[in-house]
Amino acid sequence: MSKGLSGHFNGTAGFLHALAEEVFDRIMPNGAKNIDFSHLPGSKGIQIKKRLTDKQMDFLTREYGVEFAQVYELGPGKKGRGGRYMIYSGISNRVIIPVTNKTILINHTHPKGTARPSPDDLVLLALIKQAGSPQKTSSIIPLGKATVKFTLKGLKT
Amino acid sequence: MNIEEYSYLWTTEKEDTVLVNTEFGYGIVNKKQHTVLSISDTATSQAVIKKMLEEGNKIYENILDAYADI
Repeated sequence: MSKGLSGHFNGTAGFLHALAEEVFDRIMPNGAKNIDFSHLPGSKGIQIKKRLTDKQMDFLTREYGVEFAQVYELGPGKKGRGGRYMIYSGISNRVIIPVTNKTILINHTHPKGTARPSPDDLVLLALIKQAGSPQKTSSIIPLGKATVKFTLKGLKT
Repeated sequence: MNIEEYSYLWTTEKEDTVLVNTEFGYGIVNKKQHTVLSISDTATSQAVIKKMLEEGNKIYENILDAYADI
């Protein structure tokens, strides 16, 4: 690291700390806390410590006006334990996510509020299955509406 | 509808971006990065896939076949 950059972040430890803060708590005017990012995750994704709630996903979508997808990458442990949670973001109507035999698409948001899976949502779930993932059900968080679950057969009631 | 913003799929990234068949239609897959592009707007998605077919992007019957073909 250059001396100037190191100085700006108060040394290497400070620089690493700044990197770690790409996810942080944002204090709202009413005192409530919401998760936020220093930059949008994009197709590269940002690792998060624990699964975000539907409310947090709704907040992020409302705040940035883009689609977010939350993925759990199965770990080596029993039933996939020891994996990691990742968040991806796209542009208003599209998102790019990794698809492997370890991919579990927990949920994704619909910024336009559509409370049903699009044909591409079903294609995505089918491709996740083709890749060898054990996933059968995923969720959609339509902006301002209740979360819906879907399978390859469509909406799950 | 303007799908020009997706033109990289059939130009600069044509070799890596392929179509994979499912029971619901084609998915847009980057076989090198192991990623899927999901477009929730159906009309745009269909137009992009139609253009990729016209431009000769490769087609696979299974995503694992696509991943294996690099």
